[in-house]
Amino acid sequence: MAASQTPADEVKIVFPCDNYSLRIVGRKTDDYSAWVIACVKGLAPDLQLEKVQVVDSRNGSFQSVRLAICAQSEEHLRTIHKALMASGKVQMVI
Amino acid sequence: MTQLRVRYLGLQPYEPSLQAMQDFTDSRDAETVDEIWLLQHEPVFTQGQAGKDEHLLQQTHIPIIKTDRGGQVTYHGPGQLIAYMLIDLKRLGIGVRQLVTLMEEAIIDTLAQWQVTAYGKPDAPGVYVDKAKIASLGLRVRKGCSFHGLALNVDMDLEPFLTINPCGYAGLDMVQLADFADQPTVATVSEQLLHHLTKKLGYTKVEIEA
Repeated sequence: MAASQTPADEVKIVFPCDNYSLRIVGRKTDDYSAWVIACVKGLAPDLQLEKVQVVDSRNGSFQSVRLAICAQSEEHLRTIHKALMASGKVQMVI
Repeated sequence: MTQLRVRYLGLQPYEPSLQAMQDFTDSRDAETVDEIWLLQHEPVFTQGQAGKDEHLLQQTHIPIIKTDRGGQVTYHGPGQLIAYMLIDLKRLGIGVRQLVTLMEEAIIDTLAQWQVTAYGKPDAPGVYVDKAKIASLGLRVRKGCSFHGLALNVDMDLEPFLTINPCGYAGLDMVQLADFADQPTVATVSEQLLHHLTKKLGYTKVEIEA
């Protein structure tokens, strides 16, 4: 079925998209959150460090890094996703 | 306007997905847009909060993960469509029982598109075809918002279900759409299911993230 058959209005994200939030989940290590922040900062220099939040999973095995960037394009998001996943440290980017 | 964001997440390991769902739900507020995540999981058994070990019939190499949804043990694997329902129930004006019914109806309508007649049971959540289960539901509600969701067997290896009592029912047969339809794919079924879910839940604006 084509996506256009969905009854609601479908919209694509309009870029640049300010305050685009990412939730980056990986296995918790001593340097996981610092590495994630440095990786994203390198690709999205506008990242506001004071708004970054780091949350442990219930059993303490995983960590989520919540942050927001100004997403320039789908390609920009793909680049960030690829860099994070290529590390082997990150298991999921939402 | 009721808005929904849909994420297609591909094949994902279970534990990071659980962490992401819990984190999303814990951090959401009244302004947070509802989300549906469509994905498949790497092979895993998941046990609900009150899951009893007696329903695990034999040891396998597949990991068993305790999770915070309701229900007993089930299996997830490639070829099974997962839809995680991250819904603010209060804002949508529905209760959890109504959400379960709407999810079952959406699955039934999806299967009807493949000429498969399916039904729900009032006493055992899920969707069935000829007394066999084709889709399982498991939800948790926190602060009026749901997480976890549904698992619809599309075209997968059903063997791991033989090593458990699926959902706590001994002898419950599990089936999949591929048993009744010609070459269904998770991608196609995802689009169909999304169509029915958005229609039944009444979203007027849907934002897609690939």
